[in-house]
Amino acid sequence: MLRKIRITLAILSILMVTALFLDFTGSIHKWLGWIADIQFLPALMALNVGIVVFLLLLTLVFGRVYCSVICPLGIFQDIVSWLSGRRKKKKYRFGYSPAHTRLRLGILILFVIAAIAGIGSFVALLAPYSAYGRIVQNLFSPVYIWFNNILAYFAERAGSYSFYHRDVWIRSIPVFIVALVTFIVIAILAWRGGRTYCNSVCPVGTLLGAISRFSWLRPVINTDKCVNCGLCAKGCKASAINPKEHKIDYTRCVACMDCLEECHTGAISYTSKRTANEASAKGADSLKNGGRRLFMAGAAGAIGSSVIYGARKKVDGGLAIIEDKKLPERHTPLVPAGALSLNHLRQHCTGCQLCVSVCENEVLRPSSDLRSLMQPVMEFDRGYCRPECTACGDVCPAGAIKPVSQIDKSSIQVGHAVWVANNCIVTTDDVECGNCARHCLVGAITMVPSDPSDKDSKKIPAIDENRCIGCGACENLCPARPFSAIYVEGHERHKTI
Amino acid sequence: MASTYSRRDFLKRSGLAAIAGSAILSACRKQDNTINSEEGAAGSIPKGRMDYRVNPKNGDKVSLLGYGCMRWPYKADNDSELDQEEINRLVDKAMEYGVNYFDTSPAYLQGMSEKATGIALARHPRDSYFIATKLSNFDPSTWPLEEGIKMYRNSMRDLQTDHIDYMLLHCLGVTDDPMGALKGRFIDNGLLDFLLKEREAGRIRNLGFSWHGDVAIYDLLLSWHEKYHWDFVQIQSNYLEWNNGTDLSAGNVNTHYLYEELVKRDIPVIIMEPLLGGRLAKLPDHAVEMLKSREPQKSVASWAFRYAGTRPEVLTVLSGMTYMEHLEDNLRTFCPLKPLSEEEMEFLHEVAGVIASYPTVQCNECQYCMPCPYGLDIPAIFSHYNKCVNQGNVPDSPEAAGYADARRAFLVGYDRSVPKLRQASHCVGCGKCKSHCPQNIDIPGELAHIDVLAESLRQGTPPEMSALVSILKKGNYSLVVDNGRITKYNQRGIKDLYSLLTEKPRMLDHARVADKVIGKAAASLMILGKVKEIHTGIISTPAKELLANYPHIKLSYDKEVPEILQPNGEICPMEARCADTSNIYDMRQRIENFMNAPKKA
Repeated sequence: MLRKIRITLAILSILMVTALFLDFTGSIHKWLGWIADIQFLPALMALNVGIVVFLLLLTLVFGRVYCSVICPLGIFQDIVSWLSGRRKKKKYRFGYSPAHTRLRLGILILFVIAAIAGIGSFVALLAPYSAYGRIVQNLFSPVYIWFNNILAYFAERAGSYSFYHRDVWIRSIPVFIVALVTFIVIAILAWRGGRTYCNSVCPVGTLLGAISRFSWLRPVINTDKCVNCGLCAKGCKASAINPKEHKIDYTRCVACMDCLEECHTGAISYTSKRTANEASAKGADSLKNGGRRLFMAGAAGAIGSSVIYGARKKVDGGLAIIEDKKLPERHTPLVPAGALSLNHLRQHCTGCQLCVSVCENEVLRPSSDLRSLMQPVMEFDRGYCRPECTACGDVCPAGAIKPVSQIDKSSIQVGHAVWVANNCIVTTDDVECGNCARHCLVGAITMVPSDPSDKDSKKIPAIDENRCIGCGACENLCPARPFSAIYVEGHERHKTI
Repeated sequence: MASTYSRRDFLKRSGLAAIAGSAILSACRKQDNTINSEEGAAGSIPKGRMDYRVNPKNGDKVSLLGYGCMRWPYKADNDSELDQEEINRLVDKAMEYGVNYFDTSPAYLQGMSEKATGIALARHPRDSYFIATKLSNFDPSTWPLEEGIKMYRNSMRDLQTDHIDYMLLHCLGVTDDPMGALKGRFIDNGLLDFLLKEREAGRIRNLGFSWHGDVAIYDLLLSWHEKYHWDFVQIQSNYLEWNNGTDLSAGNVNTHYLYEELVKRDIPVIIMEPLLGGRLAKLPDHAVEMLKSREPQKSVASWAFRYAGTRPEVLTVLSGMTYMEHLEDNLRTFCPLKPLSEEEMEFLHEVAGVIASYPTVQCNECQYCMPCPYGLDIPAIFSHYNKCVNQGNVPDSPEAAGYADARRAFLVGYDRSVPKLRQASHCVGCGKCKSHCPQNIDIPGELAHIDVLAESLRQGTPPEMSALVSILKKGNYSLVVDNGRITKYNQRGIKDLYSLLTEKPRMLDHARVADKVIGKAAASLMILGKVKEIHTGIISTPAKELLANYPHIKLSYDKEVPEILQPNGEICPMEARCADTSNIYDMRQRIENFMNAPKKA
């Protein structure tokens, strides 16, 4: 019974988290946003005391049920492990092994140091919920969007507006590879050894394990009933049951309740009976920490053919080829309004990609920079940070991007625009443009004569840095290609103007 | 060639049509799903019933439905290559039912039309059809005589013929400098003289021109009739522009003028754009209802063709038919054509009034403006906008009923019909398109308008003042009024404002107004009109002081000047007249007196 409850809750939970990442419209978030908010590390990063205390108490009462029914990466491993167990003669493929306490503690300590020092990439790499988010965003979401696009194709032909086309594109190749490697490594570990990752690497698992040692409810072996058949240990995906000594390692037990059903004699029960602390750490099978790597930053290169600016028009019709934009080199990266500052984002973001998933304007993407790998940055080659959209702040469970209202957003300065004379079509094509000024939401761009002594000379944009909020409309809509003639430089600390 | 078709004059045809009609009626008593072509949009097309008109100059029997070769279909999977097989099918079908006039140009379809048309036509005897093509030497690099002759010879080669039946000087009257273009393209280089000699030699059987835009050029060309003897003239005519042409876009004239001038001189008329590039087939819901309640089974387009073909001086009516169903529908309309009665013509003029009241862009998707050097898909943008206007998907304000659905339909549909990178937001306003537009559309201005609309829909807010200002500046208007719908004005001084206040005062009520120059007189009119918000490029100090008494009117401006001066340096007469009063009713009286005073010679 307890097992069935656990499985039901777990399935609901992983479906909800997955839906949250797949839903590119951001509308599900209103209903399911809480499932991201109750994830341990994001809550801790957001200093969401209520949730952290609740999760700690939950563990203190029920053991590591968090790892079984809330953590999506944990549930994902259970699913892989279950599939593996459906093979012939593979159901009882586990066995007791001692805990790798040093490894676990070592990683936890490194993790805490990294979090305090603001090395976001290391934190993001290990955070379990975020790892799952990256997998969904990078690997599952394309499949989902392709399916959506098939529906959109038919909707278009049926004259319906209920589905619309979305582009499938890789936002950052390094982060895509990180997600892919994470997926493969964790899937292999789970296929072969169940919860190996949770009990050897995961810092949340280690922390909650330390607490669950003292949990009130836990599975306990009644030695009077036990016939030493060892089935419980062979079925324990956490390798936490030592059948010879009739002991269970509660730092690793994720309270999945499998053993309760495994036991023919009913010798294992989930009760409050206290036993002596028996946590032990002896011997060690070496376990690899997965083949993760960090990748050097690489700007998304764009292959384009030349635009036919000023092409002679001799015949009617046809479309000019539009060259792809290349990303400018920004001295300071751009992060969305609500991130407060680069440091704040670095220290709080767990790199889960939820903001990237909901960014409808295709502005946010994971950073490829080593220090902030996987954390969001803004680029304006595909769209710009539109004034009516506040999705990233609304969804962020870690408080790395704080929610801002539409009104506040229009006065938060995240950067300022810079004009590059050599790229401007006033220089290259000798035409007046002013598209940047026309689309500036805050009126920070005025068109001034290029020759101060000649009022009628072609006009060029002049930027009032104090009014510019760095939304990127000018950069995105600038006709100059591949490099925009106007681009946004980030600010380290955001300010309200 | 004409002998392959049985001659049928107007009276005979009507008589036969009546007999055939009654025969079909009696045969149709039996119930099944066949539909009589006289009534149905899907009925069978009667063979050998095409209407023909005779060219009085040489007896050419020309089918009243002419095939415009500007819109041949592209391959389904490749939009840079024409679908020759389908073009052959269309031509075969058209000829099977009596169409014998094919009108093309070296510029059409990125230059591919002539070749494709030539391939399709060469499969039929040369004397079974008439070829019309044009000298489309628009680009100044093609102005020299030898370039023009090259283009002419190339047309012959592509069309696989040794003579052109109808040769046109293409699209005269458009561009910023129509006179210069006319001279440069045909007169100064001697190209027209060359063409006249070709006509004498019989390689050009009929010489004429097609015209859009500048009426002065039209009048000039007709005044040359004595000298050149135009064999025909091709004009744009349809029920929308017969009386309304001047209202629809700045340079257009009412087409009844153009038509009557040709009739006066006995010049055969060829009608182009009878359907305005399909625009008269895609009407606002209300107009469709008007037409359908009269002839529920007839297509909306058929009205426009009957209108174009009814007048007896018309030699042929051109239609650019891309799809087989369009061709079939048109054949049904023209086999034979049921002329409109006087009353029906009047009814269509009434429908024209309804259509003209919708703020659609007068774009016929002719693609002359394309390619845009900055990659925009101009016709697709206008087409999407017009579709939304006609279907009522351009909501005025977020409070309007059905706002959410209309917004979604507009925005999702926008992304579907035009890729983001080719949308109006990317228009730099270079204006290269403007001089190519035969409809005289202020393309950058209209694009700015659509961009502002899309932006306001995305944000879910009514259009902002700054957006209005950008329309004013980009389109170089003198006045732009936004009272839920944006209207633009061009006249100098306060004429527009004054006539708005006296004739359509509700236009100003609670409106946002962007103006180029505001003096004291204009300010008083705006106050009287109860406007909500004003932005102006230049404001005079007295006007600013006057408006300061009305703090509920939000004012912004680019520049303040002590007084408004005329170009000759004198103070503006309106400003002078209103100088010594701050009573707005007093000022209105003085303005009225000024406006009604007889003009000085």
